[in-house]
Amino acid sequence: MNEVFEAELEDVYRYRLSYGGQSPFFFGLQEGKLMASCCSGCGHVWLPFRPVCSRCYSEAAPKELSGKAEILTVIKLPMVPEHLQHLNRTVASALVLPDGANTCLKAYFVGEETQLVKGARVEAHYLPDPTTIADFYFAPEAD
Amino acid sequence: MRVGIVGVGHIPWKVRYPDKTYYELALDVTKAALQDAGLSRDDVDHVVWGMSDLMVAWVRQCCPSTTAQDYIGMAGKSSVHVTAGAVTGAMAVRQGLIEIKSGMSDVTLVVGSGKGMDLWDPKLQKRSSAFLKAIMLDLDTNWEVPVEPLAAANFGFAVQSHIDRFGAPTEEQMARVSVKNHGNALTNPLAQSGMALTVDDVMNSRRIAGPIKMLDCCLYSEGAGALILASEEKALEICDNPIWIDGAGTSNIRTSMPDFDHLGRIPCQEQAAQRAYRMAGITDPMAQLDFVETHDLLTGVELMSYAELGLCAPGQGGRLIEEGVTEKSGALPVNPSGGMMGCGHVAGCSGISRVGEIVQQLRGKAGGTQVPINQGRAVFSAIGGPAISQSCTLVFGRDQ
Repeated sequence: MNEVFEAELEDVYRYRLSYGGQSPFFFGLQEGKLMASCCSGCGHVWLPFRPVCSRCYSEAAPKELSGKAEILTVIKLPMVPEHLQHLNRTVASALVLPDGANTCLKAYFVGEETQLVKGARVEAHYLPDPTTIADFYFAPEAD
Repeated sequence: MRVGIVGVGHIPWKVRYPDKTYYELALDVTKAALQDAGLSRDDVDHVVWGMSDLMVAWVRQCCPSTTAQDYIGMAGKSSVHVTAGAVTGAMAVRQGLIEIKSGMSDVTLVVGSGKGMDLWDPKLQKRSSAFLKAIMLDLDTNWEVPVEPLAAANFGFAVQSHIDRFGAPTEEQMARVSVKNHGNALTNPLAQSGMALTVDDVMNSRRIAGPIKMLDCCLYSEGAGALILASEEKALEICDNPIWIDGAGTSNIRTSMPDFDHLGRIPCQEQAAQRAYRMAGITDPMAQLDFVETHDLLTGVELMSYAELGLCAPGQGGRLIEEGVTEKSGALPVNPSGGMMGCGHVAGCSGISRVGEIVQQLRGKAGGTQVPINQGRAVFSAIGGPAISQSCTLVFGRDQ
Protein backbone atom coordinates (compact mmCIF):
# COMPACT_ATOMS: atom_id res chain seq x y z
CA MET A 1 0.00 0.00 0.00
CA ASN A 2 1.20 3.50 -0.84
CA GLU A 3 1.42 6.02 1.96
CA VAL A 4 -2.05 7.36 2.78
CA PHE A 5 -2.85 10.93 3.78
CA GLU A 6 -5.24 10.96 6.75
CA ALA A 7 -6.74 13.99 8.50
CA GLU A 8 -8.58 14.24 11.81
CA LEU A 9 -11.82 16.23 11.42
CA GLU A 10 -14.69 17.00 13.76
CA ASP A 11 -18.31 17.85 12.97
CA VAL A 12 -20.73 19.08 15.63
CA TYR A 13 -24.47 19.32 15.10
CA ARG A 14 -26.86 21.05 17.46
CA TYR A 15 -30.63 20.85 17.17
CA ARG A 16 -33.72 22.69 18.25
CA LEU A 17 -35.75 19.53 17.79
CA SER A 18 -39.47 19.85 17.19
CA TYR A 19 -41.69 17.05 18.48
CA GLY A 20 -44.46 18.38 16.24
CA GLY A 21 -47.85 16.81 16.85
CA GLN A 22 -46.37 14.51 19.49
CA SER A 23 -45.73 17.52 21.74
CA PRO A 24 -48.61 16.78 24.17
CA PHE A 25 -46.71 13.71 25.37
CA PHE A 26 -43.62 15.76 26.18
CA PHE A 27 -45.63 18.54 27.86
CA GLY A 28 -47.15 15.69 29.88
CA LEU A 29 -43.71 14.56 31.00
CA GLN A 30 -43.08 18.08 32.28
CA GLU A 31 -46.20 17.79 34.45
CA GLY A 32 -45.53 14.22 35.60
CA LYS A 33 -48.27 12.75 33.44
CA LEU A 34 -48.22 9.88 30.94
CA MET A 35 -50.10 11.19 27.92
CA ALA A 36 -51.43 8.90 25.19
CA SER A 37 -53.78 9.77 22.33
CA CYS A 38 -57.20 8.25 21.75
CA CYS A 39 -58.58 7.95 18.24
CA SER A 40 -61.94 9.71 17.76
CA GLY A 41 -62.87 7.18 15.08
CA CYS A 42 -61.90 3.69 16.27
CA GLY A 43 -60.97 4.35 19.90
CA HIS A 44 -57.44 2.97 19.53
CA VAL A 45 -55.21 4.37 22.28
CA TRP A 46 -51.75 5.26 21.03
CA LEU A 47 -48.57 5.50 23.07
CA PRO A 48 -46.21 6.49 21.41
CA PHE A 49 -48.53 9.45 21.04
CA ARG A 50 -49.95 9.96 17.53
CA PRO A 51 -52.16 12.97 16.75
CA VAL A 52 -53.70 11.09 13.82
CA CYS A 53 -54.70 7.43 14.04
CA SER A 54 -52.60 5.27 11.71
CA ARG A 55 -55.41 2.72 11.55
CA CYS A 56 -58.31 4.91 10.39
CA TYR A 57 -56.74 8.39 9.87
CA SER A 58 -59.16 10.02 12.33
CA GLU A 59 -57.87 12.64 14.74
CA ALA A 60 -56.65 11.31 18.07
CA ALA A 61 -57.03 13.48 21.17
CA PRO A 62 -54.68 13.56 24.19
CA LYS A 63 -55.65 11.13 26.95
CA GLU A 64 -53.94 10.87 30.32
CA LEU A 65 -53.08 7.33 31.41
CA SER A 66 -52.55 6.15 34.97
CA GLY A 67 -48.82 5.63 34.50
CA LYS A 68 -49.11 2.01 35.59
CA ALA A 69 -48.00 -0.67 33.15
CA GLU A 70 -46.82 -4.24 32.53
CA ILE A 71 -43.37 -5.25 31.29
CA LEU A 72 -43.50 -7.29 28.04
CA THR A 73 -39.77 -7.84 27.40
CA VAL A 74 -36.63 -6.94 29.30
CA ILE A 75 -32.99 -6.62 28.25
CA LYS A 76 -30.74 -5.92 31.22
CA LEU A 77 -28.06 -3.37 30.38
CA PRO A 78 -24.42 -3.85 31.39
CA MET A 79 -24.15 -0.19 32.30
CA VAL A 80 -26.39 2.43 33.85
CA PRO A 81 -27.07 5.50 31.70
CA GLU A 82 -25.44 8.54 33.25
CA HIS A 83 -28.67 10.39 33.98
CA LEU A 84 -30.01 7.42 35.99
CA GLN A 85 -26.88 6.65 38.01
CA HIS A 86 -28.15 8.63 41.01
CA LEU A 87 -30.86 5.98 41.50
CA ASN A 88 -28.24 3.31 42.40
CA ARG A 89 -30.28 0.56 40.75
CA THR A 90 -29.93 -1.84 37.85
CA VAL A 91 -31.33 -0.56 34.54
CA ALA A 92 -32.90 -2.45 31.66
CA SER A 93 -34.35 -1.51 28.32
CA ALA A 94 -37.92 -2.75 28.27
CA LEU A 95 -40.98 -2.99 26.12
CA VAL A 96 -43.80 -1.67 28.28
CA LEU A 97 -47.58 -2.05 27.87
CA PRO A 98 -49.17 0.92 29.68
CA ASP A 99 -52.56 0.30 31.31
CA GLY A 100 -55.23 1.77 29.05
CA ALA A 101 -53.11 1.74 25.88
CA ASN A 102 -53.47 -0.54 22.87
CA THR A 103 -49.78 -0.21 22.04
CA CYS A 104 -46.45 -0.67 23.75
CA LEU A 105 -43.42 1.58 23.96
CA LYS A 106 -39.75 1.27 24.80
CA ALA A 107 -38.57 2.74 28.08
CA TYR A 108 -35.99 2.34 30.79
CA PHE A 109 -36.95 -0.08 33.58
CA VAL A 110 -35.16 0.60 36.86
CA GLY A 111 -35.08 -1.68 39.91
CA GLU A 112 -33.30 -4.37 41.82
CA GLU A 113 -31.91 -7.00 39.46
CA THR A 114 -34.42 -9.63 40.59
CA GLN A 115 -37.30 -7.25 39.85
CA LEU A 116 -36.38 -6.73 36.20
CA VAL A 117 -38.52 -9.51 34.77
CA LYS A 118 -41.17 -10.00 32.11
CA GLY A 119 -44.66 -9.54 33.51
CA ALA A 120 -43.60 -7.16 36.28
CA ARG A 121 -46.12 -4.50 37.26
CA VAL A 122 -44.55 -1.07 37.07
CA GLU A 123 -45.35 2.61 37.31
CA ALA A 124 -43.90 5.67 35.64
CA HIS A 125 -41.43 8.00 37.37
CA TYR A 126 -40.59 11.40 35.93
CA LEU A 127 -37.30 13.28 35.91
CA PRO A 128 -37.19 17.09 36.02
CA ASP A 129 -36.80 19.22 32.89
CA PRO A 130 -37.49 16.50 30.31
CA THR A 131 -36.08 16.76 26.80
CA THR A 132 -36.43 13.17 25.55
CA ILE A 133 -38.30 9.99 26.47
CA ALA A 134 -35.22 8.94 28.44
CA ASP A 135 -36.34 11.49 31.03
CA PHE A 136 -38.92 9.18 32.50
CA TYR A 137 -38.63 5.54 33.50
CA PHE A 138 -40.63 2.71 34.93
CA ALA A 139 -39.98 1.10 38.31
CA PRO A 140 -41.81 -1.66 40.17
CA GLU A 141 -45.15 -0.53 41.56
CA ALA A 142 -44.96 1.00 45.04
CA ASP A 143 -41.17 0.94 44.87
CA MET B 1 -38.76 -12.96 -19.21
CA ARG B 2 -36.15 -14.16 -16.74
CA VAL B 3 -33.35 -12.00 -15.34
CA GLY B 4 -29.92 -13.52 -14.91
CA ILE B 5 -26.77 -12.60 -13.02
CA VAL B 6 -23.84 -12.81 -15.41
CA GLY B 7 -21.05 -11.05 -13.51
CA VAL B 8 -19.81 -10.85 -9.94
CA GLY B 9 -17.29 -8.46 -8.40
CA HIS B 10 -15.93 -9.06 -4.92
CA ILE B 11 -13.22 -7.66 -2.72
CA PRO B 12 -12.23 -9.13 0.64
CA TRP B 13 -14.03 -7.86 3.73
CA LYS B 14 -11.67 -5.90 5.96
CA VAL B 15 -11.86 -4.03 9.24
CA ARG B 16 -10.79 -0.95 7.31
CA TYR B 17 -9.58 0.04 3.87
CA PRO B 18 -7.43 3.04 4.84
CA ASP B 19 -6.00 3.14 1.34
CA LYS B 20 -9.33 3.44 -0.50
CA THR B 21 -12.26 5.86 -0.55
CA TYR B 22 -15.76 4.42 -0.90
CA TYR B 23 -15.83 5.25 -4.59
CA GLU B 24 -12.48 3.60 -5.21
CA LEU B 25 -13.91 0.46 -3.61
CA ALA B 26 -16.95 0.74 -5.89
CA LEU B 27 -14.68 1.03 -8.92
CA ASP B 28 -12.70 -2.06 -7.92
CA VAL B 29 -15.79 -4.27 -7.75
CA THR B 30 -17.36 -2.74 -10.87
CA LYS B 31 -14.27 -3.56 -12.92
CA ALA B 32 -14.20 -7.07 -11.44
CA ALA B 33 -17.88 -7.68 -12.25
CA LEU B 34 -17.54 -6.40 -15.81
CA GLN B 35 -14.47 -8.58 -16.30
CA ASP B 36 -16.31 -11.59 -14.90
CA ALA B 37 -19.13 -10.98 -17.39
CA GLY B 38 -16.78 -10.22 -20.26
CA LEU B 39 -18.43 -6.82 -20.75
CA SER B 40 -17.25 -3.22 -20.91
CA ARG B 41 -18.80 -0.21 -19.18
CA ASP B 42 -20.39 0.77 -22.49
CA ASP B 43 -22.54 -2.37 -22.28
CA VAL B 44 -24.22 -1.19 -19.05
CA ASP B 45 -27.61 0.54 -19.52
CA HIS B 46 -28.46 1.30 -15.92
CA VAL B 47 -26.88 1.41 -12.46
CA VAL B 48 -28.56 0.49 -9.18
CA TRP B 49 -26.66 1.74 -6.15
CA GLY B 50 -27.00 -0.09 -2.86
CA MET B 51 -25.41 2.22 -0.32
CA SER B 52 -26.58 3.02 3.16
CA ASP B 53 -27.77 6.48 4.16
CA LEU B 54 -25.44 5.95 7.12
CA MET B 55 -22.70 7.14 4.76
CA VAL B 56 -23.72 10.65 5.83
CA ALA B 57 -22.30 9.94 9.27
CA TRP B 58 -19.66 7.39 8.31
CA VAL B 59 -17.80 9.31 5.61
CA ARG B 60 -19.57 12.72 5.71
CA GLN B 61 -21.19 12.06 2.33
CA CYS B 62 -24.81 12.51 1.40
CA CYS B 63 -25.95 11.17 -2.01
CA PRO B 64 -22.80 9.05 -2.37
CA SER B 65 -24.08 7.45 -5.56
CA THR B 66 -23.66 10.68 -7.52
CA THR B 67 -19.99 11.03 -6.68
CA ALA B 68 -19.40 7.34 -7.14
CA GLN B 69 -21.23 7.00 -10.46
CA ASP B 70 -18.95 9.57 -12.02
CA TYR B 71 -15.89 7.92 -10.50
CA ILE B 72 -16.73 4.44 -11.84
CA GLY B 73 -17.15 5.83 -15.33
CA MET B 74 -20.92 5.56 -15.56
CA ALA B 75 -21.79 9.27 -15.74
CA GLY B 76 -24.76 9.90 -17.98
CA LYS B 77 -26.33 6.47 -17.48
CA SER B 78 -29.67 6.19 -15.75
CA SER B 79 -29.45 5.17 -12.12
CA VAL B 80 -31.33 4.61 -8.87
CA HIS B 81 -29.97 4.73 -5.34
CA VAL B 82 -31.53 2.27 -2.88
CA THR B 83 -31.05 2.60 0.87
CA ALA B 84 -32.76 0.45 3.50
CA GLY B 85 -30.34 -0.26 6.33
CA ALA B 86 -28.97 -3.78 6.25
CA VAL B 87 -31.54 -4.74 3.60
CA THR B 88 -30.08 -2.26 1.15
CA GLY B 89 -28.07 -4.76 -0.90
CA ALA B 90 -30.93 -7.20 -1.32
CA MET B 91 -33.31 -4.36 -2.18
CA ALA B 92 -30.82 -3.10 -4.76
CA VAL B 93 -30.76 -6.52 -6.43
CA ARG B 94 -34.57 -6.55 -6.43
CA GLN B 95 -34.54 -3.07 -7.98
CA GLY B 96 -32.22 -4.35 -10.69
CA LEU B 97 -34.62 -7.22 -11.32
CA ILE B 98 -37.53 -4.77 -11.66
CA GLU B 99 -35.52 -2.52 -13.98
CA ILE B 100 -34.87 -5.34 -16.43
CA LYS B 101 -38.23 -7.07 -16.08
CA SER B 102 -39.93 -3.76 -16.88
CA GLY B 103 -38.01 -3.65 -20.14
CA MET B 104 -36.30 -0.37 -19.25
CA SER B 105 -32.83 -1.84 -19.59
CA ASP B 106 -31.07 -4.96 -20.81
CA VAL B 107 -27.93 -4.81 -18.68
CA THR B 108 -27.88 -3.36 -15.17
CA LEU B 109 -24.98 -2.92 -12.80
CA VAL B 110 -25.91 -3.36 -9.13
CA VAL B 111 -23.11 -1.96 -7.01
CA GLY B 112 -22.42 -0.68 -3.53
CA SER B 113 -19.62 0.05 -1.14
CA GLY B 114 -19.46 0.89 2.53
CA LYS B 115 -16.95 2.49 4.86
CA GLY B 116 -17.55 3.22 8.51
CA MET B 117 -14.21 3.04 10.18
CA ASP B 118 -13.14 6.58 9.35
CA LEU B 119 -15.25 7.59 12.35
CA TRP B 120 -12.28 7.74 14.63
CA ASP B 121 -11.56 8.27 18.31
CA PRO B 122 -8.18 10.04 18.47
CA LYS B 123 -7.77 9.21 22.18
CA LEU B 124 -8.41 5.49 21.80
CA GLN B 125 -6.81 5.34 18.35
CA LYS B 126 -9.62 3.14 17.07
CA ARG B 127 -13.12 3.35 15.62
CA SER B 128 -15.22 5.84 17.53
CA SER B 129 -18.42 4.96 19.41
CA ALA B 130 -20.08 7.41 17.02
CA PHE B 131 -20.09 4.57 14.48
CA LEU B 132 -22.64 2.58 16.48
CA LYS B 133 -24.42 5.76 17.53
CA ALA B 134 -25.01 6.48 13.86
CA ILE B 135 -26.38 2.97 13.30
CA MET B 136 -28.84 3.50 16.15
CA LEU B 137 -30.33 6.41 14.22
CA ASP B 138 -32.21 3.93 12.07
CA LEU B 139 -34.56 3.58 15.04
CA ASP B 140 -37.27 6.15 15.75
CA THR B 141 -35.20 9.09 16.97
CA ASN B 142 -38.04 10.48 19.12
CA TRP B 143 -39.29 7.27 20.71
CA GLU B 144 -36.50 4.70 20.65
CA VAL B 145 -33.00 6.13 20.28
CA PRO B 146 -32.95 7.92 23.68
CA VAL B 147 -33.75 4.63 25.50
CA GLU B 148 -31.68 2.27 23.33
CA PRO B 149 -28.05 2.70 24.37
CA LEU B 150 -26.79 -0.43 22.59
CA ALA B 151 -27.24 -1.70 19.04
CA ALA B 152 -27.07 -5.28 20.28
CA ALA B 153 -29.80 -4.61 22.85
CA ASN B 154 -32.08 -3.49 20.08
CA PHE B 155 -31.72 -6.83 18.28
CA GLY B 156 -31.59 -8.45 21.70
CA PHE B 157 -35.22 -7.44 22.24
CA ALA B 158 -36.17 -9.64 19.34
CA VAL B 159 -34.18 -12.60 20.60
CA GLN B 160 -35.29 -12.19 24.20
CA SER B 161 -38.94 -11.91 23.24
CA HIS B 162 -38.57 -15.06 21.09
CA ILE B 163 -37.13 -16.89 24.09
CA ASP B 164 -39.93 -15.53 26.30
CA ARG B 165 -42.57 -16.73 23.84
CA PHE B 166 -41.19 -20.09 22.74
CA GLY B 167 -38.78 -21.09 25.52
CA ALA B 168 -35.94 -21.37 23.01
CA PRO B 169 -33.26 -21.11 21.78
CA THR B 170 -30.83 -21.72 24.60
CA GLU B 171 -27.66 -19.67 24.78
CA GLU B 172 -25.71 -22.84 23.88
CA GLN B 173 -27.78 -23.28 20.73
CA MET B 174 -27.11 -19.66 19.81
CA ALA B 175 -23.40 -20.24 20.41
CA ARG B 176 -23.46 -23.08 17.87
CA VAL B 177 -24.40 -20.57 15.16
CA SER B 178 -21.31 -18.52 15.95
CA VAL B 179 -19.13 -21.64 15.87
CA LYS B 180 -20.67 -22.67 12.52
CA ASN B 181 -20.42 -19.30 10.78
CA HIS B 182 -16.95 -18.41 12.00
CA GLY B 183 -15.87 -21.94 11.03
CA ASN B 184 -17.39 -21.66 7.55
CA ALA B 185 -15.51 -18.41 7.05
CA LEU B 186 -12.20 -20.21 7.52
CA THR B 187 -12.46 -21.53 3.96
CA ASN B 188 -13.60 -18.23 2.45
CA PRO B 189 -10.68 -16.15 1.16
CA LEU B 190 -12.89 -13.03 1.22
CA ALA B 191 -13.78 -13.45 4.90
CA GLN B 192 -12.65 -11.04 7.57
CA SER B 193 -12.86 -13.27 10.61
CA GLY B 194 -12.72 -17.00 10.08
CA MET B 195 -12.16 -18.66 13.46
CA ALA B 196 -12.17 -22.18 14.86
CA LEU B 197 -14.32 -21.54 17.92
CA THR B 198 -15.93 -23.81 20.49
CA VAL B 199 -19.30 -23.34 22.14
CA ASP B 200 -17.41 -22.57 25.35
CA ASP B 201 -15.47 -19.79 23.58
CA VAL B 202 -18.74 -18.12 22.66
CA MET B 203 -20.38 -18.73 26.03
CA ASN B 204 -17.37 -17.25 27.82
CA SER B 205 -17.13 -14.15 25.62
CA ARG B 206 -18.12 -10.81 27.12
CA ARG B 207 -21.83 -10.41 27.81
CA ILE B 208 -23.24 -7.41 25.94
CA ALA B 209 -26.90 -7.30 27.02
CA GLY B 210 -29.50 -9.88 28.01
CA PRO B 211 -28.62 -13.20 26.33
CA ILE B 212 -26.24 -11.56 23.84
CA LYS B 213 -22.48 -12.03 24.14
CA MET B 214 -19.67 -10.60 22.07
CA LEU B 215 -19.25 -13.69 19.87
CA ASP B 216 -23.01 -13.78 19.24
CA CYS B 217 -22.61 -10.55 17.26
CA CYS B 218 -21.66 -10.01 13.63
CA LEU B 219 -18.68 -8.05 12.38
CA TYR B 220 -18.50 -4.46 11.28
CA SER B 221 -16.50 -4.20 8.12
CA GLU B 222 -15.61 -2.18 5.08
CA GLY B 223 -16.15 -3.63 1.66
CA ALA B 224 -17.92 -3.52 -1.68
CA GLY B 225 -19.79 -5.73 -4.08
CA ALA B 226 -21.07 -5.60 -7.65
CA LEU B 227 -23.30 -7.72 -9.85
CA ILE B 228 -24.15 -7.55 -13.55
CA LEU B 229 -27.79 -8.39 -14.25
CA ALA B 230 -29.08 -9.03 -17.75
CA SER B 231 -32.32 -9.86 -19.52
CA GLU B 232 -32.75 -13.53 -20.40
CA GLU B 233 -31.88 -13.06 -24.05
CA LYS B 234 -28.84 -10.95 -23.25
CA ALA B 235 -27.73 -13.18 -20.38
CA LEU B 236 -27.68 -16.23 -22.65
CA GLU B 237 -25.62 -14.26 -25.17
CA ILE B 238 -23.12 -13.25 -22.50
CA CYS B 239 -22.59 -16.64 -20.85
CA ASP B 240 -23.90 -20.17 -20.77
CA ASN B 241 -24.47 -20.31 -17.02
CA PRO B 242 -26.49 -17.28 -15.86
CA ILE B 243 -27.82 -17.52 -12.34
CA TRP B 244 -31.49 -16.59 -12.51
CA ILE B 245 -33.35 -14.44 -10.01
CA ASP B 246 -36.44 -16.61 -9.71
CA GLY B 247 -38.19 -14.80 -6.88
CA ALA B 248 -38.11 -11.61 -4.86
CA GLY B 249 -40.23 -10.43 -1.97
CA THR B 250 -40.14 -7.62 0.54
CA SER B 251 -42.06 -6.52 3.59
CA ASN B 252 -41.91 -3.75 6.15
CA ILE B 253 -43.42 -4.22 9.62
CA ARG B 254 -42.24 -2.60 12.83
CA THR B 255 -41.74 -5.53 15.15
CA SER B 256 -41.32 -4.33 18.69
CA MET B 257 -43.47 -1.20 18.89
CA PRO B 258 -46.08 0.19 18.81
CA ASP B 259 -47.87 -3.11 18.07
CA PHE B 260 -46.81 -6.05 20.18
CA ASP B 261 -48.70 -8.96 18.71
CA HIS B 262 -45.62 -9.85 16.63
CA LEU B 263 -43.24 -10.03 19.61
CA GLY B 264 -40.87 -12.96 19.28
CA ARG B 265 -41.27 -13.25 15.53
CA ILE B 266 -39.87 -11.52 12.44
CA PRO B 267 -43.08 -11.08 10.44
CA CYS B 268 -41.47 -8.97 7.72
CA GLN B 269 -39.09 -11.83 6.93
CA GLU B 270 -41.88 -14.39 6.86
CA GLN B 271 -43.92 -12.22 4.48
CA ALA B 272 -40.95 -11.42 2.25
CA ALA B 273 -40.03 -15.09 2.04
CA GLN B 274 -43.59 -16.16 1.23
CA ARG B 275 -43.77 -13.57 -1.55
CA ALA B 276 -40.44 -14.67 -3.00
CA TYR B 277 -41.31 -18.36 -2.70
CA ARG B 278 -44.66 -17.81 -4.43
CA MET B 279 -42.93 -16.07 -7.33
CA ALA B 280 -40.31 -18.83 -7.58
CA GLY B 281 -42.65 -21.78 -7.03
CA ILE B 282 -41.00 -22.84 -3.79
CA THR B 283 -43.46 -24.81 -1.67
CA ASP B 284 -41.07 -26.92 0.41
CA PRO B 285 -37.88 -24.96 1.04
CA MET B 286 -36.18 -27.78 2.95
CA ALA B 287 -36.54 -30.05 -0.06
CA GLN B 288 -36.21 -27.56 -2.91
CA LEU B 289 -33.20 -25.52 -1.79
CA ASP B 290 -29.52 -26.46 -1.72
CA PHE B 291 -28.51 -23.79 0.81
CA VAL B 292 -29.54 -20.51 2.39
CA GLU B 293 -27.68 -17.30 3.12
CA THR B 294 -29.52 -15.31 5.76
CA HIS B 295 -29.13 -12.40 8.12
CA ASP B 296 -26.94 -13.32 11.10
CA LEU B 297 -26.41 -9.99 12.80
CA LEU B 298 -26.96 -11.97 15.99
CA THR B 299 -26.83 -15.75 16.40
CA GLY B 300 -30.34 -15.72 17.83
CA VAL B 301 -31.66 -13.82 14.83
CA GLU B 302 -30.33 -16.51 12.48
CA LEU B 303 -32.16 -19.15 14.53
CA MET B 304 -35.38 -17.11 14.47
CA SER B 305 -35.00 -16.79 10.69
CA TYR B 306 -35.09 -20.56 10.21
CA ALA B 307 -38.78 -20.49 11.09
CA GLU B 308 -39.57 -17.34 9.13
CA LEU B 309 -38.02 -18.94 6.03
CA GLY B 310 -40.16 -22.03 6.49
CA LEU B 311 -37.37 -24.39 7.53
CA CYS B 312 -38.99 -25.29 10.86
CA ALA B 313 -41.76 -24.26 13.22
CA PRO B 314 -41.30 -21.10 15.33
CA GLY B 315 -39.13 -21.84 18.34
CA GLN B 316 -37.46 -24.83 16.66
CA GLY B 317 -34.44 -23.02 15.21
CA GLY B 318 -32.23 -24.14 18.08
CA ARG B 319 -33.16 -27.75 17.47
CA LEU B 320 -32.21 -27.41 13.80
CA ILE B 321 -28.67 -26.24 14.55
CA GLU B 322 -28.30 -28.79 17.35
CA GLU B 323 -29.17 -31.59 14.92
CA GLY B 324 -26.60 -30.26 12.43
CA VAL B 325 -29.18 -29.61 9.72
CA THR B 326 -27.81 -26.15 8.90
CA GLU B 327 -24.13 -27.03 9.16
CA LYS B 328 -22.14 -26.94 5.93
CA SER B 329 -22.33 -30.74 5.87
CA GLY B 330 -26.01 -30.76 6.86
CA ALA B 331 -29.19 -31.30 4.89
CA LEU B 332 -29.63 -27.54 4.29
CA PRO B 333 -26.47 -25.49 4.92
CA VAL B 334 -27.14 -21.97 6.19
CA ASN B 335 -24.52 -19.28 5.67
CA PRO B 336 -21.82 -21.50 4.13
CA SER B 337 -19.98 -18.28 3.21
CA GLY B 338 -19.49 -17.50 6.90
CA GLY B 339 -22.30 -14.95 6.91
CA MET B 340 -22.05 -11.53 8.45
CA MET B 341 -20.53 -13.09 11.52
CA GLY B 342 -17.49 -14.70 9.98
CA CYS B 343 -17.31 -13.10 6.57
CA GLY B 344 -18.16 -9.44 7.10
CA HIS B 345 -20.91 -6.84 7.13
CA VAL B 346 -21.45 -3.23 6.38
CA ALA B 347 -24.99 -1.96 6.15
CA GLY B 348 -25.52 -1.17 2.50
CA CYS B 349 -23.46 -3.26 0.18
CA SER B 350 -23.11 -6.52 2.09
CA GLY B 351 -26.28 -7.93 0.58
CA ILE B 352 -24.81 -7.46 -2.90
CA SER B 353 -21.67 -9.32 -1.89
CA ARG B 354 -23.67 -12.15 -0.37
CA VAL B 355 -25.67 -12.55 -3.56
CA GLY B 356 -22.29 -12.78 -5.27
CA GLU B 357 -21.38 -15.64 -2.93
CA ILE B 358 -24.62 -17.40 -3.91
CA VAL B 359 -23.87 -16.96 -7.60
CA GLN B 360 -20.44 -18.54 -7.16
CA GLN B 361 -22.00 -21.45 -5.21
CA LEU B 362 -24.61 -22.10 -7.91
CA ARG B 363 -21.91 -21.87 -10.55
CA GLY B 364 -19.99 -24.52 -8.59
CA LYS B 365 -17.08 -22.11 -8.24
CA ALA B 366 -17.20 -21.28 -4.54
CA GLY B 367 -13.89 -22.92 -3.74
CA GLY B 368 -13.53 -23.95 -0.10
CA THR B 369 -17.04 -22.81 0.81
CA GLN B 370 -18.67 -24.89 -1.94
CA VAL B 371 -21.67 -26.97 -0.88
CA PRO B 372 -23.28 -29.72 -2.98
CA ILE B 373 -25.69 -28.32 -5.57
CA ASN B 374 -28.46 -30.80 -6.36
CA GLN B 375 -31.65 -28.76 -6.73
CA GLY B 376 -29.87 -25.81 -8.30
CA ARG B 377 -31.67 -23.31 -6.07
CA ALA B 378 -30.74 -21.11 -3.12
CA VAL B 379 -32.15 -18.26 -1.06
CA PHE B 380 -30.80 -15.02 0.32
CA SER B 381 -32.80 -13.29 3.03
CA ALA B 382 -31.85 -9.93 4.53
CA ILE B 383 -33.37 -8.20 7.54
CA GLY B 384 -32.73 -4.73 8.81
CA GLY B 385 -33.45 -1.05 9.03
CA PRO B 386 -34.45 -0.54 11.73
CA ALA B 387 -33.46 -3.76 13.52
CA ILE B 388 -35.75 -6.51 12.23
CA SER B 389 -38.42 -4.35 10.64
CA GLN B 390 -37.70 -4.69 6.92
CA SER B 391 -36.84 -7.76 4.91
CA CYS B 392 -36.06 -8.74 1.36
CA THR B 393 -35.81 -12.35 0.30
CA LEU B 394 -34.48 -13.48 -3.07
CA VAL B 395 -34.60 -16.91 -4.69
CA PHE B 396 -31.91 -17.89 -7.18
CA GLY B 397 -31.63 -20.79 -9.56
CA ARG B 398 -29.53 -22.23 -12.34
CA ASP B 399 -30.57 -24.23 -15.36
CA GLN B 400 -29.99 -27.88 -14.42
